[in-house]
Amino acid sequence: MNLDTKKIRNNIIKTLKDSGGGHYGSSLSCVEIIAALYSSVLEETEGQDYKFENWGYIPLTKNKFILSKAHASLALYAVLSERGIIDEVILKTYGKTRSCLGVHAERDVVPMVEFSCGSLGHGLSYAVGLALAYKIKGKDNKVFVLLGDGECQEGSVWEAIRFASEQNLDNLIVIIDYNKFGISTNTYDDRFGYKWSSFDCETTWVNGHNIKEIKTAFNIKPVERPLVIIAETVKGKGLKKLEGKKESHFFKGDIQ
Amino acid sequence: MRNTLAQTIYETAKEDERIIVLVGDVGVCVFEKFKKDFPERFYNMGLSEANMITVACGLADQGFIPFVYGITPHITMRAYEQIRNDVCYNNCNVKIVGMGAGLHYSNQGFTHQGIEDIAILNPLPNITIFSPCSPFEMKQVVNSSIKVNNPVYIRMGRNNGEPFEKYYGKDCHFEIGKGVLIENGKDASIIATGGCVQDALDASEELKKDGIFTKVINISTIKPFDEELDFDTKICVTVEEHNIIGGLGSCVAERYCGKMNFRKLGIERYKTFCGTYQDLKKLYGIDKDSIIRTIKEMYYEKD
Repeated sequence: MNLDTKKIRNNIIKTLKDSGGGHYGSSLSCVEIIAALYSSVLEETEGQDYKFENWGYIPLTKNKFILSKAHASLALYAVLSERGIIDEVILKTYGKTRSCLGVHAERDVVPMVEFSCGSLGHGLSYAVGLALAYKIKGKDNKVFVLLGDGECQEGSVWEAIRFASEQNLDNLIVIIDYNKFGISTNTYDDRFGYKWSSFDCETTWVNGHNIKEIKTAFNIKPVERPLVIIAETVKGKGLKKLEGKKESHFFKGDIQ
Repeated sequence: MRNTLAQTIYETAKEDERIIVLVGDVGVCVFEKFKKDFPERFYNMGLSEANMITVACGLADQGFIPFVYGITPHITMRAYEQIRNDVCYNNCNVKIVGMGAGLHYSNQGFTHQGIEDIAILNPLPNITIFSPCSPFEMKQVVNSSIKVNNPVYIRMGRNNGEPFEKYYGKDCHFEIGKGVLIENGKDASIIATGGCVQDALDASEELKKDGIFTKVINISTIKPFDEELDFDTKICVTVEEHNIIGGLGSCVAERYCGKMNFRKLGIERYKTFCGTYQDLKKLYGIDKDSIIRTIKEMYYEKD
């Protein structure tokens, strides 16, 4: 399956503009990453379709995806819309009164959202818990989790990865949207990869806007340790004026 | 009480494969038997409370029932945001046990005293909060925790000891959300929880010599709190190993204070003081003598 990333990007920009602005930068930098997930490793389903209130029957993916950088939820919604799970009409309600599509995706409200995140630094631990559960049960399901690079400043992220590599969780794949900006900090770090490999993870770098490269990385089979994919991205990719700028993190008003 | 906790969890785990134990590098010896017999279900996560709590959420969502065990202030406060967002808001079936709640750790000082846990956890959604006062109650609490399909916090304080069972007698019973009347009297009510229940009973016994007869009510479920406590006395005193703000006293006051002459005994104005458990209770005015003094003051007060 191939998803139209240009269309997804335009939908994100249009929807944010309509809702009065928001997290342009963070949502636009991870479009290819999320599109790659939903057109490869998250295609296979498992068990019976789940009856989701107001949404009908939704398939349960065999592999799990946690969007830990949940302020980029619009990117997830836009990809799910392209996948035909969220209708375009509903996508347009993003961020508006009584919409089910909030800024930070909520599970039990939006299909295919495994866990409600928002405060950064929590999602990796949850993914570790899932991965550990699969190991205990002897199942071969995988867990993918997407973090922001600013999010990696949180100590709890390192608590989680220390435990994950200690437990040899080779069914855990950590993807980092390395767009080199936090809210107002510059997160560029030429030792970033070493930090992860020093916690005993199989670490690899990809061009975060090349879907083929990302999908190839998903197939890496690390030996008894987690896989970390550092995706080099551009914050606000697709914007005319604010592409690559930290101001794209959160913006209200005329973006183009 | 932690031996009863460990034993009950162990017995249940023999039949129920869903039970998992996570510890933050404390209590490993308490769960030795569990670790030996169920090695794939015991994890010492090391000193990382935040990670431990949220990992438990992932395990719970895959059908396991994780008991997360740590020292009260560390597990409830360092990882408070994780308890709030991940366990409670996401409604994950995680059972958190705070050991050494209250002043149990006595001479180890302020950093090891769990005396604000009720105040901070009470407002959170979906959570059941237990405060057992004896091994009998601890066993009931563990069984109840497994039966309910929502987050649970067990406030495990000092053991009141097996002799305490004599007060229950044949009518030993435990029900979630129900206070237990363990002594009856018409002049005053003492409502207590956890490690202060024994003090309340001892105070009640001694007050009889002065012709003051008190009710003693044991609150072993903080949340959901008993909305139908039956005490028709004019005087009421609550007592707890907890800050005077936001604990048992506040729970009672919120609901019942309009009806009577009411005073709370709890921990006010923290003091740096090295002492035994009993020393600290005396210092903070939550021991038997403080209860007696307070009741007498209120009883002999001219209207």
